[in-house]
Amino acid sequence: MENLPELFSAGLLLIAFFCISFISLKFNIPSVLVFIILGLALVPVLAGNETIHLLAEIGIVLMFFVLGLEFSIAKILRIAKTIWVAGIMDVVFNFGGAFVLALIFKLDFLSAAIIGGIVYASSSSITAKLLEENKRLANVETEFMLALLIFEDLVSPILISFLVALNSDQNLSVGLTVLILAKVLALTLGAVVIGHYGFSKLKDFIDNYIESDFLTFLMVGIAFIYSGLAMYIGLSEILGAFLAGVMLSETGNSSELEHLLLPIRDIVLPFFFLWFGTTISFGGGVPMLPLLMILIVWSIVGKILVGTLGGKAFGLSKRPSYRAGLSLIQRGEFSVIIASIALPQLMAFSSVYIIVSAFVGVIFFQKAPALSKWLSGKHKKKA
Amino acid sequence: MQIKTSDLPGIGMKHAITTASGDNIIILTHYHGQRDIYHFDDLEDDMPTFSIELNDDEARKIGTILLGVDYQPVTEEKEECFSQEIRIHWFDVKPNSCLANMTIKEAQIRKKTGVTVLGIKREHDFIGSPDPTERILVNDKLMVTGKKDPIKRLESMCSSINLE
Repeated sequence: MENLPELFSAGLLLIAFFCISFISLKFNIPSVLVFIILGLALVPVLAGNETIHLLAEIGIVLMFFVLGLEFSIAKILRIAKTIWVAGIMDVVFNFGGAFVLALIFKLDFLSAAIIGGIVYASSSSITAKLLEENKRLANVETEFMLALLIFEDLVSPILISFLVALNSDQNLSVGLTVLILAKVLALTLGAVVIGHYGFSKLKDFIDNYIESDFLTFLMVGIAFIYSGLAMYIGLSEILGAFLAGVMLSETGNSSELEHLLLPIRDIVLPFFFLWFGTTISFGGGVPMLPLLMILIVWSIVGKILVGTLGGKAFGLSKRPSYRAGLSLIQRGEFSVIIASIALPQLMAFSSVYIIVSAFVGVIFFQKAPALSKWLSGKHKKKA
Repeated sequence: MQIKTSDLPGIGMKHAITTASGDNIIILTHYHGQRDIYHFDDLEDDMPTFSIELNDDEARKIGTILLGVDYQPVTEEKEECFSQEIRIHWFDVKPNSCLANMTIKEAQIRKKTGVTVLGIKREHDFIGSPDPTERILVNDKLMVTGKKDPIKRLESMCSSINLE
């Protein structure tokens, strides 16, 4: 492989991406997982490759930028208002629960926090795909599930920023927490102010030049600058990218801007999951097997609790709430993102956890209707 | 009949319709244009009784049929008129449009072009079958129906932009 021109190898890689995506579509496997496995398989060739790492970083920045584009400030507030109870429960049960479990197993503070983060967020992409394939997009609990996933999308960049800051300064003191919170607040407020007072005035400008071929420079430039700014002040570039997207959605041209960026995002994003795969080393086998198994069980319990109690707070009746909780178990891209901050030993653990939870999640998703019927039937008999 | 609208973030818009006879129909409009139609016996069911996927083009054609534009039970002589192509178009009313701030009656759209205004989309509202006294505002989206030439006439008459 060393004697072939890089261009050739890059081409082979992209064709591999094509094959993976196509096969994943046909066999209903989440492509995210297959990309990680490909990275794992290519460790001897690609480990430490600078280009892959750069592309991975661009990929993740664009992913969160496009995500932020979908959400204007008004929309975020609207969704947060309906889902915050369930959202907080989600943080407490899934992040908190896993964090505590990791501490019980004698992990250090930072590793426990990272494990909490990995267990916290359900996979938005896998869930959305499952909903669509199983024709459950129109179900009454779907709105709840999607809102919860978005709440997680909002919490995750902030969580990641904390973990990134913690990573560089191992001691979590009150002072550090306040400092990080202040930085997050400052960055967010900056985005809100610039978005509301600045970008909202750009609607006509963008309308006029949307057909041009240079608007993309502006978009991606803003995304990179704000992400870089976030990194500069010690937070995660993901938060910066997301906020940049929110800023630009204030222009009101979200869907057109998204269309500009989706092709680039779609090419670069798989590199992130590929890169993650190349960072995993199973040198010592799978570490901490007992903790892994307990976390998997807790992953299921945690989400069922959120579905049941949170769903009720959202206004769902029993059966749809159970269905929702049982359908949110799969973890995926967010967990991978958080795991990428971890130390190598933790990465192997995390990747096994993520793959298993995705697999378990898909099974529970399919069984959710039957299980929720049984669970709510059981309750009826009690009464 | 009850219609409930909700936003499915990341997916599109969901309209849940409960008809007088108790049928629950859900129409999902994806961001990328695909429309899904679902039928539920009970809204809390696990799965719909059936679902249909329509692309943008199919959805619009079926929509015009449902609107009674393409087909109406009529007498034989009127049937001849309906065999010619009648379309539905959306027009964006720009600030410099000659329709801006006029009422439908004042604008004399039907008289001058032969096109009928079926509805006005304003912000998040849709005014169906508007009164002739309804004022057309800037940034309104007019839903009009007519044959090809009248629509062209409306397009060239004003600098409103045809969104179709």
